[in-house]
Amino acid sequence: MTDILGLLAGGFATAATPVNLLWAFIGCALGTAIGVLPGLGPAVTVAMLLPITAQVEPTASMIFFAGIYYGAMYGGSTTSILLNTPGETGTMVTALEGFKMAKHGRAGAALATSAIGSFVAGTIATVLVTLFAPVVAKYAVLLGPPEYFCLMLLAFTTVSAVLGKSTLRGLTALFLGIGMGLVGIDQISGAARSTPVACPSSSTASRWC
Amino acid sequence: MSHSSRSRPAQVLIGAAALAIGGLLAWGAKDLPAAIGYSGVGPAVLPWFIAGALAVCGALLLWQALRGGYRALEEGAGAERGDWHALAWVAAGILANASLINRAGFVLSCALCVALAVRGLRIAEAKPAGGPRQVLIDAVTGFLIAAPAFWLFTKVLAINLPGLTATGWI
Repeated sequence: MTDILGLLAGGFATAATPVNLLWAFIGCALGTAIGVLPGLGPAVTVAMLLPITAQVEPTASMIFFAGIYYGAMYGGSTTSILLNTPGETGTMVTALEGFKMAKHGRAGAALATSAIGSFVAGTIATVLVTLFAPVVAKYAVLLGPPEYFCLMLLAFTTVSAVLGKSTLRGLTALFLGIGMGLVGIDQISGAARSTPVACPSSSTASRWC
Repeated sequence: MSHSSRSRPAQVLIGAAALAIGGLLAWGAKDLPAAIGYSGVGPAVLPWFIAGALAVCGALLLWQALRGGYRALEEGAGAERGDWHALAWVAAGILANASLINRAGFVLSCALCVALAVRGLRIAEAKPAGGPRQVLIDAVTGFLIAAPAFWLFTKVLAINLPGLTATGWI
């Protein structure tokens, strides 16, 4: 435990230099802008900006990417509250509650709550992950296919909380969404679903080509 | 004028569309192998299940629409009718961008997209849409937004975006 604390202290000393703090600031600003845009997320942004590591020193670029991630996770709440359009998948619930607050004239309170809550929760979560990651990892590798199936069942049952007044229309929307997600290559078997992949010379599928 | 969510033809159309999409998924699923390896669950299981579920939901929606409208309708949110005129301009901008980006390059197709889509958004806000001069101003604005992003990607990050020329400047 003490060597963890020693290493952490060294990490804080490195991160507290002005250059690294400037990179963190730029990352957070850019990340917030990316989070506001629906469709762009932190993963895509970090992937596109990875070539920066060729010119910028690795520690500074990692701090930059971390700033983008945290900024994007917060930034999605801005459009969720003001436009009822979630900027990130994680801010969909913010859109449900925050937009109602905005319609009653309390948009400022909603935005402030989101910002302060994001800061406090992010700090506490980072501390907890740093302290408990090795312990949790031991249990995480024990999750198998039955556990993932139960997770999927949990997800579909909790969808019922947002179905609204009509269960039938809510379920139709759910199945339409899953149907759209089925298009493409199946991850387990590699079979192409509803997608023309190669054009065979003679089969019924050649109508696609 | 009642809200467009209460119009009977739209409700029938939605029910029929859900049924049709279920049929489309089933048509795509019929060529897939049902079982692979040692497990009985293959790539065809979930498409068939969703196709069946969508067919049932679509049939129920169609039945509800033909027998007195949807049940348990909430208060219509937003405007009473969709703004199709504005949507046409915005859709034209997006489609022009998608179809021209490989020919005209990133910068020019994005400038065109901004000019068309902003005109549609202005119509949606019930502001005067402006004439050719306004379109030119919007196109220049789009150029000023798209060009620095394009240069950042091609010159600083060395990522290839579709361009009119191969120089990486336009």
